[in-house]
Amino acid sequence: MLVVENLSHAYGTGTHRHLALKDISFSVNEGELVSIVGPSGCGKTTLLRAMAGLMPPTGGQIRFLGEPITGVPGGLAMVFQDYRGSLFPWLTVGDNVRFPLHTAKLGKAEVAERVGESLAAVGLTNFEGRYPTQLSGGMQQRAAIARALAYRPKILLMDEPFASVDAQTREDLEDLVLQVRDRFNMTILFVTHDIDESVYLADRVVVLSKPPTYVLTTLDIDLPRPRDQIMTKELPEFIHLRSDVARLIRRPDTSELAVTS
Amino acid sequence: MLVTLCLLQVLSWSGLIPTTMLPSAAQVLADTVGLFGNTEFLLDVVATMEAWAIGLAIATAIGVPLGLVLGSLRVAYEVSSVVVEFLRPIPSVALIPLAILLFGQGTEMKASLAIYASVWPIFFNTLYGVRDVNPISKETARTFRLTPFAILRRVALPHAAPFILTGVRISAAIALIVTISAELLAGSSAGIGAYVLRISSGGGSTSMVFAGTVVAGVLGVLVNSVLQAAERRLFPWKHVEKAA
Amino acid sequence: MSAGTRADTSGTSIAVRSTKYLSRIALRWVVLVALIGSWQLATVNLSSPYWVPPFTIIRRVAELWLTSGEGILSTSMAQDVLPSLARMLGGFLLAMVLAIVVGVAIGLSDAFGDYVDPILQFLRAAPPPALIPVFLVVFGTGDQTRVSLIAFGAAWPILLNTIEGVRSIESIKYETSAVFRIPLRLRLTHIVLPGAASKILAGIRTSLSIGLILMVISEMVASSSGIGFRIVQAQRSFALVDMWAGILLLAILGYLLNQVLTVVERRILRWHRLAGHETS
Ligand SMILES: Nc1ncnc2c1ncn2[C@@H]1O[C@H](COP(=O)(O)OP(=O)(O)OP(=O)(O)O)[C@@H](O)[C@H]1O
Ligand SMILES: [Mg+2]
Repeated sequence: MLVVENLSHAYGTGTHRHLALKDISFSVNEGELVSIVGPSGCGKTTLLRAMAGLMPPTGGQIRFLGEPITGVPGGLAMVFQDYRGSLFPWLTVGDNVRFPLHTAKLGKAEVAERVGESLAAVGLTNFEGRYPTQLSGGMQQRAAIARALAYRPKILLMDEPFASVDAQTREDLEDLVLQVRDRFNMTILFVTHDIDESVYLADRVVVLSKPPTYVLTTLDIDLPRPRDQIMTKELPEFIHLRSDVARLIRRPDTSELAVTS
Repeated sequence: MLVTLCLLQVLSWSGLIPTTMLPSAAQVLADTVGLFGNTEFLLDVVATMEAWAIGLAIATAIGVPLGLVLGSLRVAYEVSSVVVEFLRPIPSVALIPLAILLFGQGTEMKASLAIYASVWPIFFNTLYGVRDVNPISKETARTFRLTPFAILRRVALPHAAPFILTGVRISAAIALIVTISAELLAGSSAGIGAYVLRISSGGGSTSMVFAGTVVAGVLGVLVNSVLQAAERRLFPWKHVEKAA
Repeated sequence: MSAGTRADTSGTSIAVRSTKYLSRIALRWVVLVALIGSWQLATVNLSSPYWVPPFTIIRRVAELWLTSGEGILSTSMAQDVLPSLARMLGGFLLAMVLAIVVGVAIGLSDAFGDYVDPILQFLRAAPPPALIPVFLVVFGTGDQTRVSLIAFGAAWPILLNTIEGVRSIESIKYETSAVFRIPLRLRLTHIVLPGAASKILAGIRTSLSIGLILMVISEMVASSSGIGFRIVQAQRSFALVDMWAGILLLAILGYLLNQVLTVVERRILRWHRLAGHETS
């Protein structure tokens, strides 16, 4: 569904050229939940922005549904890390969710149905008329997810969506992602620097190196589903997998800073 | 407010300040009330308000689209900033003589000056508003495949709206000053400035001049509070309680 | 921190940046020259007496204010520009000092502030030019009238902004300083004024343009010297080149005053940031 081939990206030119991504290749199949994990600053956001067509990479190619990406393709939605910037403060939660539906030619009833369904899926039914600033951080990020769901994308890209919410809320939101994925049958690409999070959510984990960044490895995660915050995380396989990823990120190198979280 | 008025009144009774300079508060109040029965003066007020409103409306119609475009297109801004820096520092009243030559003494002349004076605050506030849009907001709109024009209309404009209204409020005050100045200088046949001119050249009392100014001041306060009320109505998200 | 908010220029080399900077300057000059060129062409072709070609205006400005006359200053520089400037600065400084002192006092006392607020709002809205006849009666036809008119008009925005700025300082700062028994003088210079600085500066900016307007209009209506007076004289005697020259001179003056304010503002706000106060 989404294929990344030998992608590279450098910021700047001349002596100030900074090679953020060296050589990235991987693919996401339909219905999969793939997570990308890598140390802070390794170029995860850069990679995601290139995939969303927000920025042309300096090398390599990305294909979505067989077509090379030039601008933002249809059927793709993104949930940004910065929900404060991503939700529009002048719109109520309901209108925020409605925002992307203007371009699709939908009837009034269908719009209302999609908005209601999406808000229900993230548990914000009663907050449709509130403004984003009236909600807590976790609720705002849920509203942003609802908006992406209402858009009915074929693929959902999520860029460290839970990096700035507290630990308890974060676990709830992780489970929310798993729920909506089952419910809407979505293909999801989930970017994080949190190793536990990447393993807990995914069918497959793509592990990135420190910059200049390449793919260290791709791990299949065959933990049983449905997953559970406590039971899944105490499985020996889970512990084994998370250690593998941690070792991968640390080993090729000398710095202690490689793994964060 | 009442206490101040009483104080002023006591001051004038005491005879410390001659009433030719600072008329007693009671006198000004009486004259102000009297003005409302004065048809000629009411027509003056209408004439001033007309030029002022036309000027403000046209300035908004020019300043907002200009600010939206120049605020979002770096190149357009670079090219036009020279023109802006060239024109902006000209104090609007310096153009009164030119406007009199070009447009005569009537509404056209006053409105054109009001436009010139009020276009700047509106333009710059719009520009700052557009620049203030969070880049993530624009990227979000792009991922939903909005066209650049739709982003301007549905993201930049609503974000800039409170800034624009602030600009209009500032402009309203300046436009009133400029309109009345133009009337004073051009010897217009109607307008609050024309009224003041008539009174003072006809040897009228200062209290009548004060009364005219009071009416103009009240109008200014009224317009300002209408715009403030509009702000609360139009931008409810600015006034909601924030969650922690 | 998300990468999307970063400007794309942050990684570019100094060389690239400086060529960008140079090409921007070049672009501005090209536009300026093109602008004046087409203005010249348009006015020459239009040959309307009202629209004077820019080169003629510029020549006249140079003649009037740079060369003619004896000594270092041209006559008209001494007779028009300096008096205008003196009135403007006199009135403006007076307004600034009064408005800040009174504003801080009002801002610090809650009850009094609420009480005077409607009066202040009203006084700000009253258009000062309408009061010119009153000022003439009270202060006579001398410079006092003009200086006080400028001071009167320029004071309100500074005053209201000072009050607002002082009130916006969080009470925790006052409480802290009270706990440490910091004397009032230090409290003023270290908490109140820095905390209100950015608001006060915004008020000063508005006041500057109002002061300039009042300077010109007071000279136009009631004066026998000053740039405003010259412009009106020129218009009435159909010396249109002189009229345009006066307008251009006012533009230059307005530009310079604004630049000075910008430099001062930057200075103050930088120190303000260094001192660890948040600016908005
Ligand atoms: N617009 C830009 N201009 C120049 N350099 C940039 C830009 N955006 C990102 N970079 C650099 O590219 C590298 C990768 O940044 P990116 O934001 O993609 O990393 P990330 O993995 O998303 O980091 P984080 O975990 O902090 O979100 C960093 O070294 C960063 O400084
Ligand atoms: Mg990132």
